[in-house]
Amino acid sequence: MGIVDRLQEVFQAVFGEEGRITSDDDGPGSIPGWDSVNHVNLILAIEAEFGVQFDAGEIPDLVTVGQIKARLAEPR
Amino acid sequence: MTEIETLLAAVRARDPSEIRLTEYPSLARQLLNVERGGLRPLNVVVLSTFTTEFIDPFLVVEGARHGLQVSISRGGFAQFEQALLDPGTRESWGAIDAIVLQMRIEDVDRNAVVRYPADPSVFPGRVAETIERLESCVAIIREWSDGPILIANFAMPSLRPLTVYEAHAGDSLTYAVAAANRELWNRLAPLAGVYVWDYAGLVASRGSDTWTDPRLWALARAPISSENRPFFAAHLARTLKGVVEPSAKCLVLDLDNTVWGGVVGDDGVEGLQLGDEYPGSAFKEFQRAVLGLRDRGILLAVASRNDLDVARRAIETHPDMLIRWEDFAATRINWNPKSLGLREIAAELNIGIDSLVLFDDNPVERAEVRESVPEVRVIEVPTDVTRYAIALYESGHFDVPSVTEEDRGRARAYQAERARADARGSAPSLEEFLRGLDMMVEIGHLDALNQERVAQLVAKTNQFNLTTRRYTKAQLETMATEDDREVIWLRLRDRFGDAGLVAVAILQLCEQTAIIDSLIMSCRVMNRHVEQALTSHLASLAKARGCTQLIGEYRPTSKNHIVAGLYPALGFAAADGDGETRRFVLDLVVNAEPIPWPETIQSPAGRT
Repeated sequence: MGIVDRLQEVFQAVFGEEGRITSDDDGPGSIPGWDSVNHVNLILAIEAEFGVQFDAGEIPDLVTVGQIKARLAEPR
Repeated sequence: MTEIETLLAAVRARDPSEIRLTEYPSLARQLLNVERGGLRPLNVVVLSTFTTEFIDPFLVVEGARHGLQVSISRGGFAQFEQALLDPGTRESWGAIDAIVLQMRIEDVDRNAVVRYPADPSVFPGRVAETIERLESCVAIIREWSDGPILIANFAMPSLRPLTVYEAHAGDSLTYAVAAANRELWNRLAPLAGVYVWDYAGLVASRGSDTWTDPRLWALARAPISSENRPFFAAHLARTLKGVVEPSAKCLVLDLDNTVWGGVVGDDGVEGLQLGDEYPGSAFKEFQRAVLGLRDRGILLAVASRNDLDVARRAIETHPDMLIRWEDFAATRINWNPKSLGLREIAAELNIGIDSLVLFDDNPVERAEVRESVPEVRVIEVPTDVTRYAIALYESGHFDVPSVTEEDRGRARAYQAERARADARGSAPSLEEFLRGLDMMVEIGHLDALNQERVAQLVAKTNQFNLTTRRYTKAQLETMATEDDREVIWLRLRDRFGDAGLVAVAILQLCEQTAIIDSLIMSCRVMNRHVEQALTSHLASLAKARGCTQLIGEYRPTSKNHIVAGLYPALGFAAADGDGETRRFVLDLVVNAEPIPWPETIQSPAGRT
């Protein structure tokens, strides 16, 4: 599975059916349930799925699908 | 299985560390969307000095593991008195089943913890204030609820001010936390309906270094690290369950490869693994853990498919048995289905079937019990015996908030009751159970398809074998071709599956007399009236062939005493015997059906 498919699975685990990703611009405005609590849940789920750890400073900025994809593409 | 049963099975087959973090939210969503029948609804209010919203999906899933349908309500962030005093907030909570209060000293005053060495008197002062606040919260709650209140105790923070010398310095935070927990207990545990939730024990067992995630504290005031959330929820759920649900009363043990290593019927008492060297030592350790439960009032029982005499001798005479025969409040050692043994044990001890816990290494037996008596709590036993004791204690089935003197004396009380019950005898409803099995048999004559299995039964069966005549496969084949002999087999099926070819009989016809030369059955299907079905068939067959009497023979050996009384029980009369052979006779003329077909077994198609 590529990054996009794995990310899709994580989004649906956290947000349910409403977590379907349609574009890189998807974020708190387009995905219902993406509130501050679920933002942290999403980040932790991504960490678990991809085996990465983000710095505290990065977490508030990872608020669109595009930003998350770009960050995951960076070397660890 | 219903949807909820499928979901629960998926949760209970794994412990919290085996469920992926990303799986919890979807499991929780599924649990919230199905009819959670069979789970106990529990509306719990959680008031805490930190953000706890993150635990919700975990608490739904871990609650379900322990039989609870948890819904969670809260007040405003870090609000206690305000929320408890505000009628509007209380109204939004609805009917509450339990309240959890958690105040961390590091949230109340971070300096008191992080800068503890600056003035070691600050921390105990904050503790005293916090305990007073908790007391006042309890008083407020008691104005409108007498339900259970759980109060978290104080965990050691991951940052230890004196690092490796915490224990050496007598006035360190480590000792101050221990004193704080003792004080919390002194002041709050005596209050009616108030329970100390051992949050400190949870953090210690998971490891305080990794318990918190400083990023999550910084960003969301939610200190508990991602991987520990399931454990936070699991521990809270277990603690809640122990408060609202009665604990299990009786641990039912299997014997072979559970209490000892090996199979006593095959290996003998001397061949069992039980002693001071591995693997015997691991079984002994498990026995010690079992006795630890008995010491605090959990009854012990045995349900084992075994020969009673052999198993009892092992329990009574093996020098390394820590659990003794008298320690068991009830025993069912026989060849009946385990589920029947469990029903009988519950009836004999006069406790609900749902207060039994089964510990059995055999997954097939566990599945049979789950299927036929779903009320019994069945522990998933690990394959490694050194992990048995942990599985037993961590199942949560024996969690009780306190142990009473009555608990400590319970085992003795039941021993006495057992002696009384033995004297008057007990009468379980075997017939009812058998009817529910939907047993069907198929009966046929020896042919190439089944001669291997028939020959195997004739060669190997010791216990249910009336004459123990060991014919070879070739001899059996020859008999099958003779006019005056019938080699007959029986297959058994029930709603749990196909037991296969389980019985063989050889009928010898001499003019007007038919003799049952051999009658052999697998012990696995004893006490299910299969032998009655087979002999009923033999009697009909003999009658159809013009015989007027049927003779049964019994030749005692050291192993077949269990069938010594079979023919009299089937209505045969004792007749003359010679030497080793006892004979029994049944008149085929007087009765239309000399041996009635058992009501609990369906007749095979085409039987007349």
